[in-house]
Amino acid sequence: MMRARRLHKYRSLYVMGLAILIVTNDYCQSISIAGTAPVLIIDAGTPGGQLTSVQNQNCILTYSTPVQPNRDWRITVNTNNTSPLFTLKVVAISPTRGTAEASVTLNSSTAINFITAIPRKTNNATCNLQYTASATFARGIGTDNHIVTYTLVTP
Amino acid sequence: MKTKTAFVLTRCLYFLVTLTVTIAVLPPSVVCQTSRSHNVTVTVNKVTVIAVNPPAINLDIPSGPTAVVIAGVDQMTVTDQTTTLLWGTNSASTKITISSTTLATPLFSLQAVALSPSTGSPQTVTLSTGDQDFITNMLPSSGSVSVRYTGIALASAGEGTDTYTVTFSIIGI
Repeated sequence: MMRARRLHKYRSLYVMGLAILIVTNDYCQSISIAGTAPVLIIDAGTPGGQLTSVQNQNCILTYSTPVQPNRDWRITVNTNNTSPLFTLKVVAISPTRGTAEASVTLNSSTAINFITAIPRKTNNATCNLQYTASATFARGIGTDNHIVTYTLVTP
Repeated sequence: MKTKTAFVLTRCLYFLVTLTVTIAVLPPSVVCQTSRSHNVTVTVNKVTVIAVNPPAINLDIPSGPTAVVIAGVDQMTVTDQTTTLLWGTNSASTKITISSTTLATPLFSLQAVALSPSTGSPQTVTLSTGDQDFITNMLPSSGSVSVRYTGIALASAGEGTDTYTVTFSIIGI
């Protein structure tokens, strides 16, 4: 009888601990990117004008924020390519939580605000990543490779 | 007492093992990550485009507004500068050439020249079959330039009409 009571006590402890672990993990900060790595190819232009810009909106950013601390979060973006030949911009389309900032030109390793005012306890919010590539004729022919990094930070 | 301690230790061990397994099997989406990266590639291929406006012009001697007809002089001329040539090229070392259809028995001659292009060196060309250099030494650029056509006729050649189809091309050197 005593042994059964003790067993019940420890089982309850275990279940409680597991529940705390899962809840805590569900609301810790997380960020992920889904979709094929974007490849933007410019191959048309206007006589007397400029090359035709191209867009890619195939990737989805998913982000969560923790219960604590009690403050808003933001996502920043930067690239490792600080001297690209061509112009690459990115903007968050329809974020389900937080506010999308204006389109960011990716030419700096410095983190620039991408989505701001993300409330705490955000669970798996999403937005589409819309990349736009543009170029001038004078820039010639070539390829720019970027490693674009999104980071969840507190204000 | 010994049994109780063993029981507690067993339970603690059980709890720790289960926690470890739980963490290991949690989906990545709920594992804390504050930063994620992916690759983005921008490629610009060779682009060469050219256009000319308007699609047709007429040079009229002697009624054209710019016609020069002088009594006692055999050669008469007329000019037109309403044509705009537009281009775009991102290739290095290119040029624009000009060619025209073959006329079996041309009565008059027709010249063309680009007026102060923003890049390259303009050439004055008397139209004939085959490509002739029109603007050479062009840099990767886009732009537009006015084209001046000059129709030259001799009074002694009489009346008539020559119709040319003029073609401009961008060619890599």
